[in-house]
Amino acid sequence: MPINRLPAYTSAGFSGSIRLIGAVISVLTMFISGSSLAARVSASVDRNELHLGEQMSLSVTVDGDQDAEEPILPAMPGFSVYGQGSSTQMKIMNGKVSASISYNYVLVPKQAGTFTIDPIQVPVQGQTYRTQPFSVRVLAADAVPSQRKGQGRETFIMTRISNPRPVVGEQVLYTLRVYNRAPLRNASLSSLEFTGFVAESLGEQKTFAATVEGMEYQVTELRWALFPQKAGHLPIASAQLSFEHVVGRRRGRSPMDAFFDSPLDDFFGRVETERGQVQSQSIDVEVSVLPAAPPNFSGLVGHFEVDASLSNLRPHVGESSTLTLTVRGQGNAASIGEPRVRGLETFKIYDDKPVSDIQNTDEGVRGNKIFKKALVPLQAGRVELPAIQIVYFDPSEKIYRTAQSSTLSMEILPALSQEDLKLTEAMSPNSGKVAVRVLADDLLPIYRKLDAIQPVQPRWQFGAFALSLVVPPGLFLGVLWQQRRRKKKIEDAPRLRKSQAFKKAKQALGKIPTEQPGQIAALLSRVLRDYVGNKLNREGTALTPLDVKHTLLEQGIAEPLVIKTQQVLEQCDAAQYGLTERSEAHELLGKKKEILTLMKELDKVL
Amino acid sequence: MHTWVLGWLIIVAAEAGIANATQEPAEIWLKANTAYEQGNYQQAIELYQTLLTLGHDSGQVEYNLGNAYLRNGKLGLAIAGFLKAQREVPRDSDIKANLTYARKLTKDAITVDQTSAVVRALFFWHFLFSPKELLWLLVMVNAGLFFSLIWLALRRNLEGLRWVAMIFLIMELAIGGSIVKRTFFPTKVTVIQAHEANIHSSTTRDSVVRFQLHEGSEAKVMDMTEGWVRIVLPDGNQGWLEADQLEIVAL
Repeated sequence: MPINRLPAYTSAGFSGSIRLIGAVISVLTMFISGSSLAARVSASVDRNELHLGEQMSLSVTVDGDQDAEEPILPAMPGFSVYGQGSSTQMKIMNGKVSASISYNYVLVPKQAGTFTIDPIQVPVQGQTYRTQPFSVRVLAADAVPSQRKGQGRETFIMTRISNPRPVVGEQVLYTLRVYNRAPLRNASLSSLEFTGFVAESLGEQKTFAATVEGMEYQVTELRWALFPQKAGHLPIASAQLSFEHVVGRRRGRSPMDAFFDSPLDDFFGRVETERGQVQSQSIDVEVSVLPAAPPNFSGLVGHFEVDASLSNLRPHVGESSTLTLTVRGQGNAASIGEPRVRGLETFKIYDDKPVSDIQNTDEGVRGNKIFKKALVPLQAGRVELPAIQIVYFDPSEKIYRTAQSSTLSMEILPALSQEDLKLTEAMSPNSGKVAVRVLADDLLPIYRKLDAIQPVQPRWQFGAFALSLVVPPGLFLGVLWQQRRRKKKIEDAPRLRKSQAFKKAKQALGKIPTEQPGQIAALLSRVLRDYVGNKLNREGTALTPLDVKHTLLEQGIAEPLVIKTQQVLEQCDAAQYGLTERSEAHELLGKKKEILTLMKELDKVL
Repeated sequence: MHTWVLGWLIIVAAEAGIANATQEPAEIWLKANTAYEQGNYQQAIELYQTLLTLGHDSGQVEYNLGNAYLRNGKLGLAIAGFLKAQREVPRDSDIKANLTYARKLTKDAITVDQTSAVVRALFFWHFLFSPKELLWLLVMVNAGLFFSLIWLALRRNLEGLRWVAMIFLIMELAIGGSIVKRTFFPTKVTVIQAHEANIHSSTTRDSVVRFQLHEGSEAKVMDMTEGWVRIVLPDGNQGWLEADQLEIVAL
């Protein structure tokens, strides 16, 4: 078929940092065995889905031979094919030299539809290699012009979502494309926020050419898989792109300028740039709740399959067989949980850690999780394991579906030896000891005894508890207080005695009977003696009149008062032993007043 | 005579009342256990929760509830239940075993933040006794301290009694400190309840999602505000998540 050669398309991209994208689909030829040269031929395209007006790149690479002839392309009626020349590459690895040659083409679709690209033939040193056929899907022209409103013709952003009305958990693809005609510098895209979604970036950014309204654009595309986490209105904010685009050079242009144009013009700031900003439209996403789910709904939304297999369908009792459950699909594959397996009551089960393989492809997130269980049968016989089921929600049909594996049958043969399944194994033949091996793990049983139901504590218990904390320190304080009081009492006794001396003496004087003169004298003498003794903290009854005199003089009492006190005491003593007449008794009663006056005078000075 | 008979009748009536009051929780307990053993885990959960509501919040009830939650597929609530049970009955090996088993089922590779062995050895009573046991210990040690002080006050010549009082004092400070810590400064641990929880950089849903945690993962609480909780993982990563996605257990 004719190949139109186009001049090489120079991409501008973001700040010179655009890298060519990796292959989206890579197809390989089979080796033709027996060849000692062992060339490898591969064909790759940058994407397998595009819109009318866009382009895709096809590259046919021959590894191991730089002299391969040009590939023979099959008929591609749905595309215009443009050759972009070839490139060679030489690699030296571990001392070995290897060479490759790549033939590059641009395919521009002419109509929408799904096309199968037949095998590409590549003659290499007399042998012909063929690639595998592959499909390309061409969609209708994108609604670019309407989205471009308000953004200008040179540079604009377009955003798109694969389904603006998903259900909770359904994977939707968000595509952001930047179209630019002029080279851009220092371009930066505002960080996107997907509030209410879990977002997964789908691969590296892609760059390709597209035609919009007859004009060629360089397109940079970014994609995300979004999983809405809740129902309701979830807007995706607009994306903003800030950039500088070259508007000219600082010096005047002349026919000779082409000679002086230099790659270092940028470095020396000889180009003029103008700042710009464009913003895409925001996208409104209306997320619906899932319909009422069946009781065994797994939480998966998308398209899923489940497989089950056994490594050994005829094990002996005590011999293990590995049950492998694989759940795979497209959607929220990261949420794949372990399916329930029934019919394993007669097995000892060892669970292995699940292995997951989640891939972010251009079509979205897909992946699988593999769950393995080692099953050790405990009794012989035939066992039918029912099909493993996974209930998931199919968003395309809006129904719940059940993915089901095949049923598995096992024929359990009797144990090879007569011994029961050992739960221990010998550590060594000579030690006589066996190691205890944990075979499985599960919850321990619940608590059943009634003493778990403890009576609710009545309120008074809190008061009793507080009291039990307060009473001991209270008692301790009480003991301390009591001891202190006693000590004080002991220390203060003389003072107390002294302060109460007059009061006691006066009371005692008032109680003296008047009938018996001998008794009156003795009591008067005692009162005075006790008074002096209390004042001086001494035993009053042991004081003689002379003792009283000396003691009072020692206290610094005036001598007349001391003499008078002594005389009164001597008179009382004399009266005590010699008084008989009634008239003298009357005189003694008069002494009461004298003694009282005397004590008052002494009270002033003692 | 009549007074004695009347008093006896009052006592008997009170005991009968007490017996009737305790019979109903026992019935609930037996029904809950039966439901669990028959595989009616949701019913068992409701009955255990009724017991908790009635004030029978023993560690055994929390343990059974944790078992029922786990059988019913609620890993986060199960782990929270086991933690509460362990708080009430810290020396129970069954609770420890089931908690360990439940933690193995979590999805996130997070090391549960355990207190170091040195701290556990130094403050062994804080980890060995439940709050109620600590309170009773405090009562006994308090009585021992002050009765030994009283004896010292009365008989000053007993040198050994001073050491006894000193030991009681140290014990009282230690136990009292433990009770104060548990009451006023408890360690708050969160257990994620949501199947998958986004941990944000701040207290708004619009903020950046820093990382995600899955049901059953545990983290320490740093702060709480307006329906959001700030958590920190053992490796230092921290962030905010909505309070309705987790259960907080005060240890």
